[in-house]
Amino acid sequence: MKHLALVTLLGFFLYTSLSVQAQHYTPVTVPNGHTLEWRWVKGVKEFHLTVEEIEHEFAPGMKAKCWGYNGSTPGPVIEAIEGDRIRILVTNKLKEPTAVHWHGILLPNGMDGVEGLTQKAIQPGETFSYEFTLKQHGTFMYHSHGDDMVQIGLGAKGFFIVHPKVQTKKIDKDFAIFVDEWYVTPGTFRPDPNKMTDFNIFTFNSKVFPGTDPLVVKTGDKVRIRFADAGQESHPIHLHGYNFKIVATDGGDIPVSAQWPETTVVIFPGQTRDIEFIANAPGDWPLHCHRRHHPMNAMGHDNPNMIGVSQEGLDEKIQKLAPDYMAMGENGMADMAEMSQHMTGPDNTLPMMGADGPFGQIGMGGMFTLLKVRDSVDASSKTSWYHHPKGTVASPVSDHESSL
Amino acid sequence: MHYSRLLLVIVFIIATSLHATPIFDLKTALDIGLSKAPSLQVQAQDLYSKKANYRLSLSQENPSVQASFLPQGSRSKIDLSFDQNLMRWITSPLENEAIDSQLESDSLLYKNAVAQLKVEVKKAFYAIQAAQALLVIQNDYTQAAQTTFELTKRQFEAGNINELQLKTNEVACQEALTMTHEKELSLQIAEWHLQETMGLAPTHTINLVTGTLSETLPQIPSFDELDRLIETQRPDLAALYAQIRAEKAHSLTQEWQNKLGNLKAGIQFEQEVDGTQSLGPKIEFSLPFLNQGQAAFEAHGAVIAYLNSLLITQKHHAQYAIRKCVSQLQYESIEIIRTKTHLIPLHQRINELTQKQYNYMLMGVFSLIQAKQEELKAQETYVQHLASFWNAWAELEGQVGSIPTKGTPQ
Repeated sequence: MKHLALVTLLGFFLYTSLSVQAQHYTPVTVPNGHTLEWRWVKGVKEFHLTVEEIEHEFAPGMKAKCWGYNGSTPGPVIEAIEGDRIRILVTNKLKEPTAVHWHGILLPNGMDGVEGLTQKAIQPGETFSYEFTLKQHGTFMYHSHGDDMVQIGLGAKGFFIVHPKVQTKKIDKDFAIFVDEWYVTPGTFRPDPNKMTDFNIFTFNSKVFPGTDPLVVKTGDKVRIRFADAGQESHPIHLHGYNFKIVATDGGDIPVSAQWPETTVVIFPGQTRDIEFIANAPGDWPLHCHRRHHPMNAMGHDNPNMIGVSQEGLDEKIQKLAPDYMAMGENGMADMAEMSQHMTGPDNTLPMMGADGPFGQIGMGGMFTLLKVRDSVDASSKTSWYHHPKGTVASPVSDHESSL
Repeated sequence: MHYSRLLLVIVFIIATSLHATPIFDLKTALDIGLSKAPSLQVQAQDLYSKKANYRLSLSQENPSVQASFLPQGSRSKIDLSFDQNLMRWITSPLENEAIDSQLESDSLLYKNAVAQLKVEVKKAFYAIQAAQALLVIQNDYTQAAQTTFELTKRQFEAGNINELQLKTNEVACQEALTMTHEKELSLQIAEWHLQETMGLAPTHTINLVTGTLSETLPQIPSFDELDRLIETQRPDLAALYAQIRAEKAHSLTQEWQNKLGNLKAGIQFEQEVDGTQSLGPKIEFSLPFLNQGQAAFEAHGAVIAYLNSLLITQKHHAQYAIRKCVSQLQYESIEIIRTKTHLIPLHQRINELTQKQYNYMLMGVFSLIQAKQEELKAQETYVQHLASFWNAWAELEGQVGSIPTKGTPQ
């Protein structure tokens, strides 16, 4: 009886502590993604990942056969708390061996997930168990570490986010965005993992604009955005309308005294970066990679430079050879955004840029999304445009005004 | 109102037909060739000359009369004889047969010359059709190259490419122009060749705008059928057969002549000095003791053997020649069909796909033009195969005399 009372008391304390633990952090919001479910198994948080071929949509109009975890690329976010004992079951549904590396996590060598080095490869159809205790907090990744070029190149990667045991600051919105680049030959349905340079699809969480979900926050929210890069290139991600601080890397928190304000954060391959800011400026603010070709979709790498080249008089000659020809690019490529709405491109290929905006075509694509800061957030905030206060939008001036 | 419309249509049709360039067709070319080709004229004259000579050789020998007067005092001895060579009468059926056969052979050789001229005219005509089509294609290709160059010139003027890139493009344009000039030259030479083959004077002005090469391919006959056609239709082989018959008849004639010697018959009248007269028949022939005509017989035998081996050789050559032609025709017809049904549609599809790539700025305008140029190259290949087909067909017709196949240009 005495023992029963002790067990009941212990159970109560455990339940209470777990409940508190489950609620003391802000869950990560994954634009275009989701978080991996888990279950308690004898005091261990157990997750289950299945690596497999999936059909992935980069944006409406373009799908590809990628490799991912649990039906998506990036795979679902593994979210846990510092100090957790976790077990991750990995089932291989690929047709080749694999292993999963827990990038940045401090763990026993045999759990590091390097095929052939720290473990036997997970053969097709096999399930392996990884089990370790989380000794740190921060933003980490998991990704394949067998046939990396192909498996990561086709999308086998995901976030591994460990929240601190003790929250020292309140975060209202916590986002996680994987940056990546791909090469998908226009008209094909499978990314080419053999490509080493000259990528043509640049993604946030494997999505391109206008397929990228916006980041919706309330005015005044303390916002964190976690970035991770398991790809080939670095990406300078720029946020309009704000300055922010880079508060952590996958090596740990950056002391406040070492943080400095930024408007662009560069994420290199194999790195994660956390930025934080207070969303005090309402509006629709672009968040995009600042490499010029990255906030756009595929275009020819060897296209001739036709800027400033008048084609007057030559159109008819070319139309004799190619009846559907229409001169493009003489005055820049902005008209592409509009033209792409009417012209037919190759199968399963997105126009270089273009999406409907509140003031016309948005000449963007690729690594581009919006931070939507609203005084009040509701279901429509994701799709509605910001209503600018009167007199706060740039507008044409009269000849008289411009001459002053 | 209706009548005025009808009138307008009639006026339009008349005006169009007046301005339309008449088409120079193969039949006209053949007609001109058969009536004017110098080589054929020479053969025809040769044939007339041989016929006259044969008539000459067949003309009968006149009877001969010999007379001698030998005065002996107041009287003379008179000797008169009247001879007629009888060999010609005996051997003339054989000689006639020989000459008839020889005449047949010569006529067949003339027919062969006509057939060969037709082959040459057809080949020359097809060459013009091909050259005209190839020039049209080349003009389009060159126009595309010029347009490309014009675009690059504007790029250069806009400061987008350097002089090296401009000059590199200019080379491609110049090369295309060279190809156009080559095609023009080919057409000009083909025109001269046809005029020459038809026997027209170089100063003769003639419109040689032809129709296009026929795309309807005749069925290629089997080897058996063609081998049979060689036997039955080829004039030069038939001529050899006739010549062998002639030579055999000649040989028989010779044999008779050797057997009978120089057989002559006649009447002889003699009057002696004393006035005695005698009149009687006369016969004269040589005795084949030393010369039985073996050499002549052998000579004829050798000629016949030579003609037989020539016949075998020519048949042998013709059988292989038709097989080469048929192989060529089979290859060309496969390539024609493949180019028409696969290669050109493939390029047209590539053009469509390139246009889609261009629409999304995945490819530039030069790729678009280049894709069209590649299609033009495929069209050029098609015309070349078509021309090679008809050339081989004409060659095959020449090898077998003629091919009784419907639907082919005759």
